[in-house]
Amino acid sequence: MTSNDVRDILSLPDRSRSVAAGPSRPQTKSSKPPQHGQQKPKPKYDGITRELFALLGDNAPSLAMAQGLGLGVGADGKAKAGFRPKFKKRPGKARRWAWTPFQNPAREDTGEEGSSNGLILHHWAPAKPQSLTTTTNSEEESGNGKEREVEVEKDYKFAQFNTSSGVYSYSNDEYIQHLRDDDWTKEETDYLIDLCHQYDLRFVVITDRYEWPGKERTMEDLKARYYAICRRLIRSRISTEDMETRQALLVTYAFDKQREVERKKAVTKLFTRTPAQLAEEEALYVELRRLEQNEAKFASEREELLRLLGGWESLPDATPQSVAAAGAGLAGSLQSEESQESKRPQKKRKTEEDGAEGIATSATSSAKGSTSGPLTSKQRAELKQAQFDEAQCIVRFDPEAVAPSKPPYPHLVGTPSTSPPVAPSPSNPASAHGVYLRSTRMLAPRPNLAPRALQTLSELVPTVGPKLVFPTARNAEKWEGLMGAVTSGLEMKRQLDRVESELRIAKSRLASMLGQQQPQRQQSFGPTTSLPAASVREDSVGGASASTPVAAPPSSAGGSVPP
Amino acid sequence: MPGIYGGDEINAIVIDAGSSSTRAGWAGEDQPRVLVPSSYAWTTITDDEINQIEQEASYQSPQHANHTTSPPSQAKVESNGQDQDGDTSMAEPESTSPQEPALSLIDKETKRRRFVGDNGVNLWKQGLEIATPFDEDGIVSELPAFQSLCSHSLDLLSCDPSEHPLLMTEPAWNTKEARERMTEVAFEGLQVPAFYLANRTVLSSFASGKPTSLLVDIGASTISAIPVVDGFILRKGIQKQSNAGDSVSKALLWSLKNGAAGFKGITPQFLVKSKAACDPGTEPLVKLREDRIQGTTESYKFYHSMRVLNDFKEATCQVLDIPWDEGQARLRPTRMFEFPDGYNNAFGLERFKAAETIFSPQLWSSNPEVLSQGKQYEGLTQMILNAINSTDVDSRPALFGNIVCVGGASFLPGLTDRLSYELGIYAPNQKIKIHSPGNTVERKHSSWLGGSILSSLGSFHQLWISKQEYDEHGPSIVQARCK
Repeated sequence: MTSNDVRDILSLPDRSRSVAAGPSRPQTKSSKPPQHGQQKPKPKYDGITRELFALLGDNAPSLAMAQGLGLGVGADGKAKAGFRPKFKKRPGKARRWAWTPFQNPAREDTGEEGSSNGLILHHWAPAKPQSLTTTTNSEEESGNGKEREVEVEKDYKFAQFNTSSGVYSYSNDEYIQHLRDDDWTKEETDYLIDLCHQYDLRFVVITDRYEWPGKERTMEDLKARYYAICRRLIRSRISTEDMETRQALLVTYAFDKQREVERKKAVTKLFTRTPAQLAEEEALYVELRRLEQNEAKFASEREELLRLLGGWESLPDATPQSVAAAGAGLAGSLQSEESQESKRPQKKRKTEEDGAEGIATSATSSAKGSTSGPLTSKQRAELKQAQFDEAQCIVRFDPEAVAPSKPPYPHLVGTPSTSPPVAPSPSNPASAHGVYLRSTRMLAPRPNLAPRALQTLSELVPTVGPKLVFPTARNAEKWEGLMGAVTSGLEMKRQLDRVESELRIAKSRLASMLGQQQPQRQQSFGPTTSLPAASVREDSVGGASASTPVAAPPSSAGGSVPP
Repeated sequence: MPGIYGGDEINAIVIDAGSSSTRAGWAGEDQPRVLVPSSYAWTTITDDEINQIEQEASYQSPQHANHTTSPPSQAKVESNGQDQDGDTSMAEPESTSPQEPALSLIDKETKRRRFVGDNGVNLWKQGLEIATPFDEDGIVSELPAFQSLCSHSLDLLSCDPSEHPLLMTEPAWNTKEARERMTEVAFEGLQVPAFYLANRTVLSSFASGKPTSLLVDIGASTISAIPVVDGFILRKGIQKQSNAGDSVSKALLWSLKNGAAGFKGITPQFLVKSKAACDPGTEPLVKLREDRIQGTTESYKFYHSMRVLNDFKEATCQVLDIPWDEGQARLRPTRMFEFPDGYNNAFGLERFKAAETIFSPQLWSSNPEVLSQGKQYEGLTQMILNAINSTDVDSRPALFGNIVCVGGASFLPGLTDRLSYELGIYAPNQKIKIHSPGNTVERKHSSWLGGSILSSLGSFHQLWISKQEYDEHGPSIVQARCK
């Protein structure tokens, strides 16, 4: 509390205008204008007590306070009805609740018109709106409270939960006409229907409470009788529904007593398993799982084997699952799945065919495709296959082709990429069966030729890398051709070098011999000289060793040497 | 719209009179407000005394009438988690205090004057006898006493029964006659405006939130295992035996008498004047109140001995976690207990063997001091299996999965563990789940709690038997309405 507050309380004139106005200075109701313009008075905010506002001190008021929550700021810079703490005021009044009497229409004694002898209970309920309007004269209200109490609520919100299960009932005539049964008297049937009403068709409870002298009824007996009554009544009664709805209704009341009894027997058996039986069952189940897994494993192995031996892309109807299922006796379950799976690629191929109509096809397929006549299904399939292969860059080996016993190029080893992988060569283990990369199965220069061949390739003007970068079938074939050419060129060059050096040696030897006698005459029959084979071989060894330092770069001629 | 839980309070009263304690309280609350022993005490009374009391009553009648309409202010509400016998209620309304007996507490035919409530039973008086309004099956047999018990509970609740609907509980094996008599008590004796009689088993099942369950109730006098399906008990599956909590106490007593060193019989608290510390297993050094020995009746002494034994049982007794094996039980740790007369000892085998009255009654069945003879007793596990197997095969899995274990004696440590162990052996192919509330109130007073829930449900209010209906149809309406 500041002196300003005291002054305010005592209605003294405001003295401290000249002093720096404290934040707690009240905005007095005095209509005096601010004396000097030196200090603009802080705007007054609604909805906040002065003391609370004083706590702000020199701090700027919060935005919510200054702007008002969702309300505009007046032209004079004052928030109109701005910041209101939540606890300050509540819209409206607290709801009044009254100890109200009520009747429950779900009760039997209350009845439809709400007879006066129904049970009246009391509960707390929101007071009626007219009592809200007359809150001002509360004394009066308490005075005539007796009269108000007489107004008993007639509808009860929980009455709607009083439902019944729609149990069928019948008239006497209906019973005589349709429902007679040798085993059941009318009285007993009435008793059963009565119980069904009472216990809302809970047959477990009905069976428990069923006591009819001289009869022992099981739950199935009771159910069979009740549902038979329902079915007969549905059939015999005239209804506006069409036949189908009636038939559907009849189906819902179907009850096969014999089957139910059998089912319960089976369930009982299931319940009375001994621990030993349980353990055995568990063991059998584990065994079954094991067998099934083994079957799957066996099937996948088998498929692998078949693919290796036969070179089949896939086995027609032997996925590992299906084989395992067949082994486990589940063949039917996978049928649909398989058929779906087989449909999918067919469809895909069909679209491929449509799309690749104009694409140039391979030789065989184009030959077959050009025949305009109706194709047999086999031919059509082959055609499709060819088109598909073309689009997918698949190259197939001719299954009938025999592997060539010799590689096409004399200086290359391995299996050519164009021949099927049937003949594994001991020199190239990568050419074994199964899936392989084409690049691993290409012909390669002989090991003693390989470094030089690669060197030669690297010296080409656009250098050809030591490896084939994009080994498609065609590229691989070309690569093999190139390698074959390079190697045979190199080999030929080597031969040439050797022959030349032999010639040179022979010439120099001849010249030295003739130099003693007649060097001029000797020159004329140099090249035609046939030397003994043994000496040639000896020299060739020496020549080879002599030619290595020469190793004249064979220039670009090596590449252009025809194979 | 009705709330999610469908509650609608109409200020109903729920009274659950069990064989050992009676609970009363307002519907919708989570624990009973009043907890009094179900037993009552009586003394003989002469005609002169009756006349005198009647005169006094008529003299005070205006005052008395005033008294009932404005409830006594000192009626004390009892606290939660109290001992079963309820020792804490100190102040009781004057109307039931011995100085000013209400007329309802006097039985002219048998010339008896009854004392009900904690003070009535526990305050020693010359020649006071203890009796119970129930027969040994827990069915109401003495109507006047039952009525005074109910009105005493309502007095403690400080309410006028003519203004509130009343829900009472009954055992599952209640007879038709007993139901009608209870209805008469409610409408004629207590003048209630509306009444309902609910099955205790069903209520306990509701209290644990299960409409379908196998309810195992181990109370003071009776063990029962009853299948409940969709809120209805299956009467053909009712299994009940009388080897419950009290039998365990009796078995403890027998073990004490036959084998405990230095044991000289139970001396209840009211006979003890002073005691001195003594070594374990030696004779107690106690001074008795000689003045009380003469006037104490057998039944009064027995009742209070049972209270002592009950304390002893609650403090020491335990269920062995495996099927009964005496060698194993001997190996288990012992527990000390001191009786009111100062006798104390460590108890080992006794505390395990007594609990076997519930699980293997064949150990005790030949002993007339423990189990009443001429009856077949089966272990609790077998009872449960019998109850379940008597139901339809389709309901069995639901029952096995919803075994609810309630009642004061189910607090014996290890009881549910043993139960689930044995059930696992006997029903190996079932998914067994035993639900047993951890909360003391929920377990001891589960049937009251279920009544509290039921009678505060909006959809239940159509089932009340109104006074008018009773007047029209007579007490037999209870058979038709309360299924």
